[in-house]
Amino acid sequence: MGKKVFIALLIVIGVLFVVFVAIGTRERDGNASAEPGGVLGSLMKKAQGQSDVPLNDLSADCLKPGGVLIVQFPCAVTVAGGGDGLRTVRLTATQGTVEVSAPLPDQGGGSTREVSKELSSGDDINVAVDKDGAVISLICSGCQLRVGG
Amino acid sequence: MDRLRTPLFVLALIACALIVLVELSSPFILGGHGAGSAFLEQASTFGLNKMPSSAGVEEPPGRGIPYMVLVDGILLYVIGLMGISLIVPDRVHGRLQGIVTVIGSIVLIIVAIVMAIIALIEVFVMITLFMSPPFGTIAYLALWGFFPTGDASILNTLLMSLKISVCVLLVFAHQRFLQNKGLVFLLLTSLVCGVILSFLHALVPTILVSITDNIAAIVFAIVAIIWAIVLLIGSIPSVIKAIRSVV
Repeated sequence: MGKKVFIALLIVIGVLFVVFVAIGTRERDGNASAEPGGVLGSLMKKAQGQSDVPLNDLSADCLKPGGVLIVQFPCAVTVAGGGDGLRTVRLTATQGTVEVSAPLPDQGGGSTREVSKELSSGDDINVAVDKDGAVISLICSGCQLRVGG
Repeated sequence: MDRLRTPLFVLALIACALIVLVELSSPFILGGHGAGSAFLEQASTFGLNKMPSSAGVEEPPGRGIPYMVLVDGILLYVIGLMGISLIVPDRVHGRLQGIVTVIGSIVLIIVAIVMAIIALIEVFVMITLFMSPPFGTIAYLALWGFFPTGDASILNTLLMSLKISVCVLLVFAHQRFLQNKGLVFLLLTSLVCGVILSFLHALVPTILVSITDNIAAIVFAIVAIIWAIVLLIGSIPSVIKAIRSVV
């Protein structure tokens, strides 16, 4: 390879690097609650795959056949452990307002963090569960949810 | 310019060794700083009733820069072999080079495959978590959400400067190095890896950089596997020659 060609390639690589570094320094924290857009966003949606917890891995007093949860008092939904990695339980509020609490899946071996969110009728939520399983708490006085979308 | 300028060549070898050392030590340099306030700021956008604890939320070290050592390790090996040829007699060097390259490239292929699989699994975990709001997304944010893009950019700039120094020093040491197409392509591959890393870090918002950083790590592992296969194939004739000379 000629010296001039090699130097030209070095310059092109250097310029590209400087441009990308300059782009990377702009303010761009992002918003975690918004769905990622662009090429990466669509690739992530495709790569997400099927990781829903099967209905028979769920047990609770308030769980009725067909994946319906009829909650009169606080109800604990136990998600059995299993699977290779992370799985999700999708809950959709179909009647009333309900507070859903669950521990965050622990991938790093750190302390357990618990989060809760209030759902109104029509809202849905994905509860991520690691291979050890989890207990999801549902708190309301007379509400109904459906497991799945 | 007929003779090799040994001091410049030695400087290139030292710069290459520095590149490998910086990449190997990068997990101890990058990350580790608290990111609790940024975590709470992002978690607050989900409208949660009960906010998670921000204790222990830190910037992750990432895999991109450490995985670059798979490619730059090959560069150090190739330049190191040239350096050894200055000291060791040609006959011994020829035999050793073939055997060491065969063993080294097989080990590199296995290590790079394992490392690529680890990075790939982690990418899938990251994506599954991120795409399961709010519980999964918050768990993702706690572990990987606050990649130290500024520090990584500084470290990558240092590495790129060292890589360009290696190129310039080799050219000044002996212009015939440019006739060694394998070495030139390896140098260019190493530089392009740095550009790929800066591109993938600049492509997405900070909260997603850990995912693109892992993708870069997978790319580097694949590039290293390809180079290891090239080295393996290239070393077969010298091994056969060495075996024939013994038999």
